[in-house]
Amino acid sequence: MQLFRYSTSIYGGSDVLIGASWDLLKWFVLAGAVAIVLHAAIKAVTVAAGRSGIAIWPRRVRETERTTAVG
Amino acid sequence: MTVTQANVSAAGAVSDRVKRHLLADRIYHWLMAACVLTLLATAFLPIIGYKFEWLGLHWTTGVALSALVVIHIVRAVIWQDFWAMMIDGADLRNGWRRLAQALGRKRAAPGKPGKYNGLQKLYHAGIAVLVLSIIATGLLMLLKIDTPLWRRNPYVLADYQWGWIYVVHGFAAMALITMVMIHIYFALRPDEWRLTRSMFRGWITRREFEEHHDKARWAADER
Repeated sequence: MQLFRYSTSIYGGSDVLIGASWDLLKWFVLAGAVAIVLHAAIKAVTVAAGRSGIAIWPRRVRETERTTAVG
Repeated sequence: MTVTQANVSAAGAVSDRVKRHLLADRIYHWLMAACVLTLLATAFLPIIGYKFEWLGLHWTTGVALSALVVIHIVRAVIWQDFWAMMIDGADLRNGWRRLAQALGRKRAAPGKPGKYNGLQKLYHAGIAVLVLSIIATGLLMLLKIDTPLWRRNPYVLADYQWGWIYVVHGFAAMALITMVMIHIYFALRPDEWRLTRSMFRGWITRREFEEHHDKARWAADER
């Protein structure tokens, strides 16, 4: 995958930088789509968990807290 | 009338609407949206295969966008609350607390934002960097075309300098596509409709204001 576009120098020297590669266009579109799908999925899961009272990422209970709860 | 005076005068009769965007700001937003979509279409449609005479529409729209952005910057600095869009310590603290809460850590609950939340401010900063980069490089690129106002003069810069100007213009334009996609997605989300509505009609309801915003951080005008 090319990051840049080059044109060949008419004087036979090294290639001349002429801009960003348009092959990257699809990756920027994909990045937008991934961000949208990820946000929608996380939001859907957190809202559903909030309604049912489930902790998605339960907090680790420390030994002292457990002892207090039992005691 | 200042915001403070408006709040005092409204104290007797509390309105059920809170002004979020003045008409001038809404017009600016939609004109900017039209310019950005036109610029993206005239830039990328020919690249993906839809060939047409794109250059004239592209550069004239670019000049229009540049003028709009200058007006916006002047308005934001002189007449609007410039700091309402700047990320501050409270935004960072709220962001950290929200992250900790999401990870199940026991922390104080995050506070409510002012007019804009931290992520909206971050998004605005990102758009500002991209649009200003595109405008700066685009205005320089005008030196490479003949227009009714000036003749082309590409010799003011060396080839490699032009190359980097085109690189910045191209990368910023492609990143703008990502940002526009995300912006439209949030505008269409039902839980953000109050903000989309306010960009059409100018207001949010008092209930929405009290539910989502901190009065101490946003001295809102009541209408």
